[in-house]
Amino acid sequence: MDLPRDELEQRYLEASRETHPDRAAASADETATLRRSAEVNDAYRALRDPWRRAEVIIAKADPSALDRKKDLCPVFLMEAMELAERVADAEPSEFSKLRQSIESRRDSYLQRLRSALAENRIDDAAVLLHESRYCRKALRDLEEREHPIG
Amino acid sequence: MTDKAQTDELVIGIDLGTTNSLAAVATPTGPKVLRKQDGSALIPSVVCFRPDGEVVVGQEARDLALQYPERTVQSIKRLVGRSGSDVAAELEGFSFRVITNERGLPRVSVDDKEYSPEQISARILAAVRDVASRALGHEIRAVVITVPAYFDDAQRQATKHAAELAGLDCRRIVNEPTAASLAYGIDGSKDGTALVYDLGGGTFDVSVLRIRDGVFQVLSTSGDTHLGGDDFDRLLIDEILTTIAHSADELEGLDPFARQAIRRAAESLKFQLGEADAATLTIDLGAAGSTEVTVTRQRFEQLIAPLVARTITCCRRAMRDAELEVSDLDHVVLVGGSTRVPLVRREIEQFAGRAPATSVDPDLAVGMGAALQAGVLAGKDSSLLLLDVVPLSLGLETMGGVVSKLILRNATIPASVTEEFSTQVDDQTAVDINVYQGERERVEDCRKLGSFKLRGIPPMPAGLPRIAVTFTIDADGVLRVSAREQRTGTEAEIQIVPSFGLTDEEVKRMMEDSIEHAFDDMSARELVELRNKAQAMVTGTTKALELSDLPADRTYSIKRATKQLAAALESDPDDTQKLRTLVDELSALTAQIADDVISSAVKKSLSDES
Repeated sequence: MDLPRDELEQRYLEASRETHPDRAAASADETATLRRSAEVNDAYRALRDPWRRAEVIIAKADPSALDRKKDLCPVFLMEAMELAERVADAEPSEFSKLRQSIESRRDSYLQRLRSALAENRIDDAAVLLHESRYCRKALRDLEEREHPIG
Repeated sequence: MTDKAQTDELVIGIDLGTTNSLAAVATPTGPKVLRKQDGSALIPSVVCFRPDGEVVVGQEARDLALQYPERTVQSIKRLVGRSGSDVAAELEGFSFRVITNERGLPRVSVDDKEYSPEQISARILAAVRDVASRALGHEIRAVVITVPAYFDDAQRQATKHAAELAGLDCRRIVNEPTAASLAYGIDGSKDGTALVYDLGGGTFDVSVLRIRDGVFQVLSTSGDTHLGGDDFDRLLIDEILTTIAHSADELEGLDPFARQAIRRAAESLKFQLGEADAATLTIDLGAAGSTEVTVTRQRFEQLIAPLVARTITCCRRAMRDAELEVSDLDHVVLVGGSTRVPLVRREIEQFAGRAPATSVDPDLAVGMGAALQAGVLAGKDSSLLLLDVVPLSLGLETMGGVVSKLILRNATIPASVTEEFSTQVDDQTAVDINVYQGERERVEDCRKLGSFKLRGIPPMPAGLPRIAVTFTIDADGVLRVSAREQRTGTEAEIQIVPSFGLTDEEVKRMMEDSIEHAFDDMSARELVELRNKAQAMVTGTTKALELSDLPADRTYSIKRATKQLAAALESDPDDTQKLRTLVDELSALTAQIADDVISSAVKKSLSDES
């Protein structure tokens, strides 16, 4: 689960030097070059994101775990819905406080997820990953409210 | 020309700008801007359709803008890859006519002819190519063209079509701020994080990059494809109009000449206000007389402040998307002519908390960067690598008009995603997929790139076919789609109906047209040149004969041929064949005795003086 960021970057750049269409321009099969380069970029994106990394590790350890643990407890769901409402109704003056509180919740999920994976508690990890989606979604919605794109 | 240059492929970089364009080439000592014989590098992105049928491009066209405002096309980049309704608001500022065709796309209308924005851009590209060919003494076919980073798929595709119409092989579309960062960071001393702020004539881009060991990795990009120096001009034009015209009737009454004169005045005021606290100009409005206008810098800055504020908002977003703080920035680079405006410099400096770098010429950086990338693609430089991103998320229309995102903005390109589709009813053989680009949730707030129709699905019960559709954004930032039915393994046929820009049919037809017209243009130009040459010969020979004291028997045939040529110029000025024959005849005759004529003329003039 723990991946040294620098090494990841280094390896990604090395792979890109070989696969990027600018380098492989002369080689024959353009479509294959394109596919390979897109794969490298996609893999890098996934590896950089701790949540996606966790997802891959869980799926590898137990392919059915994520599906089996999909149903979350009703108390948690209530909490999650309340959070979504708070984000939707928040006044601009409350944004930064709300953000801090959700971010610390998210960070706590990531920490617990790391320990669960380290101790090979795959089912726990699957539940944590599912649960974490709610606060990650809330953060995205808050971001959209703070800085509307349009 | 060395052997190496002949065997190596030549790829040049072209900065195809809203206001100016230019070409550059990579050389062993660095990128070199290609200039005209008079030393100028910037080619105004202006096309003039002269009443005599000739089409001129560049400075010459710009000079004619006052004389033929309705025939002179400027800022065409603002229309490229857009729909008529997208650009409706901008058309007011144009002195030429733009109509909307049956597909709702804008077309430039001059006389009875209609031109797509791609065709106008193709003229500009061809002119830039000609300048480059002359400067290098080498024919050019392959190019790298820059576009604003925030250009969407349709605008990129349209730029590629323009290159095709100009007979150019576009090897790569490169984002302008990325190209500029190449020109800036190429010497290797600039490793670190850089923010490139690119405010041109019509577009604004900001990109955040990490530069390390020759890899230029774009972390995020943001911008506005409809914000630039033109908008500053337009605000000044409005300011001038309200000063000089006191009623709506008076505004209506201004003819295209007056409007063009005001546009020029606005540009000139903007430049002056870059240095001075106030600027005054007398504007010749033709029939409406002349008028004096004064604008202070304070007023100008008040007018443009909201626009500049918008660019700073984009910078914040780019920094957030790159997950960086302003304090993480090592370099701030300004690109584009509009970054010369003092308010722009002050605002960016305040935002970044540091003075921007000034080591690259804001007008030339993009073109030089394009040349470096062209060098990479020609295989001349293997130390550089550009890793760019897609500026806008790509998604599909799902139930209820919601866009589900497939590829998120700022994903490194090439990027690709495969989605599975199925059928809704039994024996359905076709599925429509609508593709959108943008950040908003609903289809009406995003830009529809086009419809993809999957055809040839084997008849099966509803929901059984599994069609894997792969959406790939290539290194040009352009979408490609392929599909395969999983159960039978058959390649599904995809028919693409683009929402914007040219269909393949249109490109083909325009190609044919442009080839035909290329011949027209060429023979027209040849005739003009031939006439000029004939006239010069008549005048020159007559003069030389006057000065010489050659015996009459030696000059008789020359005199006769000169008279014939002069008569032909009067009676048959369009007869290329006849003029050429007579010109050739006369040159043959004069060549024989040129030495005699010259030496006798010299003798005569010497004796006259003594």
